[in-house]
Amino acid sequence: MTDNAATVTDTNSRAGMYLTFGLADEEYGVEILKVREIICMMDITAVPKAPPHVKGVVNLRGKVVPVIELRTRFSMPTIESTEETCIIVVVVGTREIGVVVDRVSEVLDIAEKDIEDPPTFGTIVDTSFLIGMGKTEGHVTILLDITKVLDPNDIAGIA
Amino acid sequence: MATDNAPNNHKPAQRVDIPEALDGLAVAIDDCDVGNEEAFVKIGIRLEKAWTDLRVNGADKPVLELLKTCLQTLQQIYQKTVSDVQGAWDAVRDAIAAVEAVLGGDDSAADRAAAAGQAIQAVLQGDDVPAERAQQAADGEAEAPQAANAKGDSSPRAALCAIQDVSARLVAADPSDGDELKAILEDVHTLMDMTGLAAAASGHLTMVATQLETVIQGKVPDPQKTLDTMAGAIGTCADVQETFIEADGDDLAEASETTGEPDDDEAPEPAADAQTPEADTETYGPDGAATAADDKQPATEEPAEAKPASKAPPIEFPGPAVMGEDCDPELMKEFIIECLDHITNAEGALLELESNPEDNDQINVVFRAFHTIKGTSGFLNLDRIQTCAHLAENLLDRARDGEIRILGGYADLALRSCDCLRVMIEGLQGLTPGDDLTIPEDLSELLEILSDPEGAGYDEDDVDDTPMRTGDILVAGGKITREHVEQAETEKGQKHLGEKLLEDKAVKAKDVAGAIRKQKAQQQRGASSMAEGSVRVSTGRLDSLINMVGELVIAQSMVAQDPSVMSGQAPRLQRNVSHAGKITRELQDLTMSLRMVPLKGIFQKMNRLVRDLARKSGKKVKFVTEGEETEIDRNMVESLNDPLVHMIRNSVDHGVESPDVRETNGKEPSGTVTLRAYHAAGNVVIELQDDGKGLDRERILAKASERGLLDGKKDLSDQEAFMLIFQAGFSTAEKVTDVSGRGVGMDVVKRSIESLRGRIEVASKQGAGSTFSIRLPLTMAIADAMILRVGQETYLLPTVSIEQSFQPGAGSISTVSGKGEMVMLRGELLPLFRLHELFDVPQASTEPYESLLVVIEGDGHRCALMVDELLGQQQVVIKSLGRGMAKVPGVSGGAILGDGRVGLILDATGLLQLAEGRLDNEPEAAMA
Repeated sequence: MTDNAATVTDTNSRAGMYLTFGLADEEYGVEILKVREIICMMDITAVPKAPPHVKGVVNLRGKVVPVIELRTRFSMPTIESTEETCIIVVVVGTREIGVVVDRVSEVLDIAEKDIEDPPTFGTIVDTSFLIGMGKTEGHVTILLDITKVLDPNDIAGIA
Repeated sequence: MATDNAPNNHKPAQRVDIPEALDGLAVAIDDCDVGNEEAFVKIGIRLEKAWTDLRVNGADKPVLELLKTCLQTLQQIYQKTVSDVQGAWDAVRDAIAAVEAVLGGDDSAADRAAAAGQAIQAVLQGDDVPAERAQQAADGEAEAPQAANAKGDSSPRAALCAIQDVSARLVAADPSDGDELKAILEDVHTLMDMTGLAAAASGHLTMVATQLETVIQGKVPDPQKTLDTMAGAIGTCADVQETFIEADGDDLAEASETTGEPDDDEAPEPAADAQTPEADTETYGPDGAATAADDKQPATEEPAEAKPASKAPPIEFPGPAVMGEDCDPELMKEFIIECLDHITNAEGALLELESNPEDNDQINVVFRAFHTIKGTSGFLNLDRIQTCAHLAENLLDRARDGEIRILGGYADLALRSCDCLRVMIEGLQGLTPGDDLTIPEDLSELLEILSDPEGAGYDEDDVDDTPMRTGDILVAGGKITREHVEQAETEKGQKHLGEKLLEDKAVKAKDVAGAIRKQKAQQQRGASSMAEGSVRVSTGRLDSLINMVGELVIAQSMVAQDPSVMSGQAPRLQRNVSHAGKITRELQDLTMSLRMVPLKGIFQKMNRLVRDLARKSGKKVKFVTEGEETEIDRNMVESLNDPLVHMIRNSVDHGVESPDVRETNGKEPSGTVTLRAYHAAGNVVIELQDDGKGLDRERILAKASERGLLDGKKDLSDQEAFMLIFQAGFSTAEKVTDVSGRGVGMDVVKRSIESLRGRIEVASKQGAGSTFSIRLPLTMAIADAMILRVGQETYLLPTVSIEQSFQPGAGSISTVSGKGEMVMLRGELLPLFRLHELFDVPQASTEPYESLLVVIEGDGHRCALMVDELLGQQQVVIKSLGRGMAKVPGVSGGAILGDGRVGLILDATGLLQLAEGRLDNEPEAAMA
């Protein structure tokens, strides 16, 4: 799966279906093929000694799945969960990981012409985990390469 | 049947025509001696031909029916499934005479014909289902002349007839009629045993037999089609056989028409496949073929090996030892699984035979195993496996005939064949065409021995007295004491134990009878459980099923606890919910049991081990297993193997003394090692008990102090002293044997038992033996855990690692350099760790005197763990924290709690490491 994604980005065919979600005021998108399911926010069991962005583990129909707080991962201030807070369960390689987001918006089919390469911000913002910027209906969706976001080399505590 | 044998001058025309084949048949039958096989077969051919012709001519239905009945009767006589042979014979003769008369225009003969039909039925009804009787009839009817040809009929012509019969039955068979199919299968097997069968035909038959079995088991989507295919295969088979007969120059009078040129491929390798191993290997030249073929009726009563062995050249294989190009990997995979199953069954049966050599069922199990392996491996061109299985089968065949008993050397030989086959078959795994096959070094030696066991000095000697199990049963039932049985055992002489005990008035006859019945029942239960069908399911699917059911239980309890259900305002809803709850719980129990397998398999393996060890060390050891039906998680069974092997080696090598030492000490020369399993308090207990010399406390203590393991401790209890043997590198054995004594072992045993979350204990009495008890949880997947609360978090702590919990009394806690805390518990100082500090849990109680201390033990270290409170005890299903999560120190996994949340399972060993690791860093802070 990871290999496929790499091929996809390499050949610049970034077009496809994206699940978009919101974090604070920003819209993000993640390849729909990497999304297993979306579940409502539930009690998360904290895991001691885990890095701060690892919120803990949840019970996904009898399976124990670790959950990442994306806000913390992106160094945004954390907020209390709301009615809209969701956990998107993504599949990275053979692992399932939950990602806490503020809200889930929609599924967008974004054409190649609507995707721009991520701008460079120098050292202010790390753009290595971005696929590109999707332009839709007047606003911008940040397309995430979720594999890199959850890259074990980047995140201590997730092996 | 053989329509090409039709006399040329026959003109099918009017119905009144008497087919030439029928003409004078009754007279021929009358003249024919039932035992004269060739004549018998000729009659059969004529009769069948007559029937075919009459059918073509459109004869009356009753006549056809009658002839068909006659044919079937002949067939049954031929298969020796008729008890009143002469009666049946006469009835057939009468019937045919009547048919002749009817066809000749004698109207009054119709009544005679009907009467004859009834007579045949009457004779046949005296018999039970033919298939089941076949064996008995073959063995038992010594007075019937054809019994001389008992099994494995010889002439190729007869084999051809049999093939054609099977073919006809197969075409007519109803795919849904299981009994009929089974009967056909039986016939195919009989056929395969015939010596007159062409080697090439035997391959086809093997295939047919296999397919037939699958049809019977209902595994085929379109049985009718499969049956047709099989009929086709049998047809080919008949052709092959016919060619074979031609090539043989074997000419039975009527079989005059040549069907074609002898097939060059088939002709040179006919020979008696079922009897001579060399047939498959083509080391026989044309001469060999001729000798084998001329010998139309090989003396089947002679031991199978006796014939070729003495002059047989060393067994050679034409093919290179590589995987054939044409092998089908799927087929191969199934072959491997199936054969390994068979070997396991055979081993079990062989061991059973040791104590009960007359048990025909067990002999048949072993025989069937070898037979099937022989058949399928031949089909797959695995000639080495085939030959080995074949020779082993011959050995068992002799046992089946009652010529030998599978004891002593023969048993060794059969077990060795099992091993050899297992090695070869396991070696097939994952091979691709062209890869080298695994050939055990001793294969050729084994094959030579198998060809002539007696010549190689193997026989049934070297047999220990079989243990009297009646006594065991009586003791177990509390009817009598073990001592009494043992005394009676020594005094009984030639008598049965039961008789002796009765004489002594020690037990009531009723009890003895009961015990013997129980013994029989056990044997039968063993047999019936084997017939139970099973399905292979991947463990992945099983695990997700178990997961889902677990979730279902939680979801159900959530519904059941919902206020609107609990309120009592909807009694019907409440009732339905509780009904659903009951079903859910049953479902859960059932799914849990899916993972469970009986310990029987592993116990059997140990049986084998004890046997081999005892032989190697020259000791006499009786191995008794009890409770082998106790079930345990299948994952654990595998991990249990190594520890048990270690322990049994120890027991046999160190525990049980050699026979002369035992006798000097006033014990029976043969020692007893008992492996026992039972459930106790939600655990499985496996006990290994021997009546050997026991552990030597003084030697252990001396050794321990020499190695500095005592830490200056004195006055150890026996239990503590014995536990020293589980220390690494500890061995009191004076000499190192190749079996044990190197001092690696017991510590490994202890560690692997602990990794299964179990405990091991030892009890011993010097001179009287020792008992090792392993206490294991029922399954690895489930743990008994205490639920504890710290702040807002709940954790699960496995009860196995908890020693006790207590509330510290005032002043019992002291600190070291103001930081490291210690608690005094019954005069013992324990380090105190606060779980909320270890795990940085907020809002936890920080006042130790108001909290609870739990003493945990892991890896030899102990400490007191401070928690807020204990919430209760629960059985939890252990799950990993997900592959996305790195190993968390102090946490071994997660479990789904009753409310659907995940609870973390604490790992005592990890916690202690975490805590002690923290202490290593602390001193600086403390000093700073």
